[in-house]
Amino acid sequence: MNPRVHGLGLLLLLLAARTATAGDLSAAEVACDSLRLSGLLERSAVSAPHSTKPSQLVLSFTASGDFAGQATGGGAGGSADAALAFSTNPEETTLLRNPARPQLFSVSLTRNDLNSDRVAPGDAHELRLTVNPTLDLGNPPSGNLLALDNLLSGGKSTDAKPGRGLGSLIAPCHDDFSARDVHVFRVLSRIARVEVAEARSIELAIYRGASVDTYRFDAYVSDAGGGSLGRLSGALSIPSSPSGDLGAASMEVFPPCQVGTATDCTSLSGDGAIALFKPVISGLPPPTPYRVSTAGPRQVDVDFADLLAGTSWRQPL
Amino acid sequence: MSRAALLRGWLGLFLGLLLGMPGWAGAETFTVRSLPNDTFVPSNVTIQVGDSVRFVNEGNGFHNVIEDGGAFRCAEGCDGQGGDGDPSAADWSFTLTFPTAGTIGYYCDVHGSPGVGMIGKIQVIAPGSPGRFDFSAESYSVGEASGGTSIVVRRTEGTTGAVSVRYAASAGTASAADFTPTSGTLSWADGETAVKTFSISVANDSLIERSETVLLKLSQPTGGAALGRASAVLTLIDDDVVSSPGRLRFRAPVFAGAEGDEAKIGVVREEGAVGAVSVGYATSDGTAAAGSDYPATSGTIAFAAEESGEKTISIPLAEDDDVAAEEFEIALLNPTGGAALRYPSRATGVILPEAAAVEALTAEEVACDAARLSGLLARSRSLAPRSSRPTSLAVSFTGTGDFAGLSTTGIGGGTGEAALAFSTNPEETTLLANPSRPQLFSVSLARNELNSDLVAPGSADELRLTINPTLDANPPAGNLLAIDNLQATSGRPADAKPGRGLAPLLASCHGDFGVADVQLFRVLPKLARGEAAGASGFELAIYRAPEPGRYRFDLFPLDAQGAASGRLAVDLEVVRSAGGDLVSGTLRRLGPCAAGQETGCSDLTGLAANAALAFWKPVLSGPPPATPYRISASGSPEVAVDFADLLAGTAWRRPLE
Repeated sequence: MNPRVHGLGLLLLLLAARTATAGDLSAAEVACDSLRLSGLLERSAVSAPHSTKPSQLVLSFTASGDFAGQATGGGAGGSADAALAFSTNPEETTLLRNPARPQLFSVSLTRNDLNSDRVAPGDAHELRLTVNPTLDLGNPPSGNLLALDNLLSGGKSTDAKPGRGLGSLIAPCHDDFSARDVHVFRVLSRIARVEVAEARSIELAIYRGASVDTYRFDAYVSDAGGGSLGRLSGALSIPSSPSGDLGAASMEVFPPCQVGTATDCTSLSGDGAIALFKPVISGLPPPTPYRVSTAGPRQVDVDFADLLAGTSWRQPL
Repeated sequence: MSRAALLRGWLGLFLGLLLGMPGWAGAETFTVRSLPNDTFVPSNVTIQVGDSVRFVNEGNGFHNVIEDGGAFRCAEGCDGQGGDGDPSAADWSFTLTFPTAGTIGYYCDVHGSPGVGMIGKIQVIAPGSPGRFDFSAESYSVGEASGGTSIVVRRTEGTTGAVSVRYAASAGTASAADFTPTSGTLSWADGETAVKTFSISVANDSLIERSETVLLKLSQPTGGAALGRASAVLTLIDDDVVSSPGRLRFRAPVFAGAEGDEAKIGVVREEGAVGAVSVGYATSDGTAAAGSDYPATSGTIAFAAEESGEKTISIPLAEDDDVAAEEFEIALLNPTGGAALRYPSRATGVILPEAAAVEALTAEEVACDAARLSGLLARSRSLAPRSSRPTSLAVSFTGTGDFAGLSTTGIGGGTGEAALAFSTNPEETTLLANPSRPQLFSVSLARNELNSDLVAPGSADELRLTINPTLDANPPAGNLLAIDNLQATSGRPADAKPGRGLAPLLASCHGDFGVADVQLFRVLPKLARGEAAGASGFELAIYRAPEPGRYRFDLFPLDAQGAASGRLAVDLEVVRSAGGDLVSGTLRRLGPCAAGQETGCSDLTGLAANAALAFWKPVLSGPPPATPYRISASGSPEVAVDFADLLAGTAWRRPLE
């Protein structure tokens, strides 16, 4: 018998008895997740250097609480836009080859080729993602940034950089997410688009709400000059179905922030919408999406059986 | 000719060829290969009407070929033509013939979609065609400060005869004050296909304005050439700063710090810096209480005339026994000097509890960790293709329980050897660009360049690492996760592949590891090397023992076929100073496995009977390594380690905090 595979039978038994995944979350845990996402988004930038169309950066989590996300650009609703999917992994300690060098906190950033659309240099769908891992929030040298792109050749598919700036963001706020949570994060990353006139850059955080079947959106919107247009926030409730499929759901956009409130509200300076587009093969026009807007309707019913018709995405893997 | 008519014409001949109709006299066949880096090469092929293209996959990954409009879908033959167009990693090839002029785009179902990803294009030129003209993109952008940009125009689908086309850049929402309107003629000689460019000058004004557009147009083609993408838009991005006192905001609506640390938030002045301005700030309670969790804080932030940018407010956070995050609020108040407030002028401060890391582990959790690592090693292979020296592959964990490891070639404490550091990350769900494709479980594998030695192709220090993510014990090479330590332009720093084989191994067995554990998971692979006469390489699993401060090593010497030949299991107990520095340790060889015992014991058969585990002092490449601390299968069962000596001259004795 191969001595390396001793214990694999035991492993399967242990896996069955392993600790449960996160159920209901406390308000502070939800706030903590929101904070981790907004903190990384604040340090992230996506650009489509050969396109004038708005880009969008969506960020959520892997099951173990590392970051996973997707940058898109070039179009809307999954049609004619391109994706750059990625995840982070904290390396925690970098021991440089020269042992006399100090240890450095480091994080790696990796493109997921299977979920990314890769293009030739100069293509209108070229996407570039940077994450600032340093303590310098001003304007660190570009060489200190984690960087990825979706180029076919000569591109950058992974990066690791030292820097303590992400140190407070990498620790998970609670137990692992469930397979359903992770599946919803991945599907929403694909189909959710934020629509704001004058927006040049949109950063969207998708995370769990307090109860097991609610999910939250926080979209941070910037204009062409990089100035903030505010935050568009909302929630999606997807009750469990007997089959486990994603079925009937309800989506809402939160009301305007009042004096004294900063969370669970929308602070956008103008009108904006969150839309869920039916996934279609690129090149085909996207069907009419499910959409909630600050201008109304503020709440809509969403039928995932319709939204994800023709796909294999309704059930967690 | 319309795209649909073009495809109908092509498909008709394709069917005819399959039925045995004669081909075109004098026609040529071109070859397009799919490569492991998910590309078609060559991706652009120009052929004459009647020529054929042979697509080849030589076990180079999970690919197929689909026409952008769905007119054909092929891999091991074509759908509807007696073949199977599903993506396949097998060796396959098929040939298509193109009877009509035009451009045909195609992509791989797994790695692309029309126009993006793993794609290619075939230009079919009619003999004697002069071709057509296109802008290289439908949109371009340029910053005002750049001074201008160049626009690319292409001649495609024909090269016969001298041709020319007129270009013009005219005002959209931009005016003549923003750019210099221009027009002219671009010319190509007979047979010429090179791209041509024309320049547009942009004015760098100081006005505050929204982005503006310039309209680009191609017209009046000569020589019989046609127009393709004849319109495009250039966007001028404004980069000026308003002449006003500016606006003030917090950098973000939420900020945080850990108990015992500081919470810091930036106050930003932007969109103007005329005159001196100031703004007040004050905290208020949420679930956190001023006095016990944080000090009530208020004050004023001032910016001098012409000063913009960001200033920081720091709030110290108290330590307590709370295990949940707590919140407080902070607001900007009473701006002076004409400055205005903008969102976010209120922010939520989150006090993060100290992370609770695992301390004692149960025997079952340790066995689970050991099984995860040995399961990964059974699916992994480290190779130094240009060296006869043994390779070593050590695997352990990141703090959150994903895999991290180090592959090295050569023996001995960092001298004369190269390293390839890596980590895995489960992606859990791959939703392919084509939504009708099934979901796939996938894993990504990435090189950590900071801990790796990157080399040029052909170097004796070249290292390759593969991991089999599939349920198949011997899958095609293209289905394996693969990275190497070649320099960026020629190497493979990251990979992602579908496959359910790793699924049982990915989930962590317990809570997160603490910084002290992670420190040793990073340091020990740098130091520990296997030794055994006749071994072709070594695999090493490093994990926690049940007691805090104790670690386990499972060393697997590999025989000439790469199979594990016994196991030397070793326990390391470490002693730290009050400050957390590693002081001393004791290596203990674990005894032979009892009946039914699978972990925490040695299997001193095969090459393991004469194996040893050595811990080398890290030295810079060049000087010979010092004598290591060594524990062997047949020597003393216990060896003392002096970490002050072993790690002398390094910064590695203390965990990174």
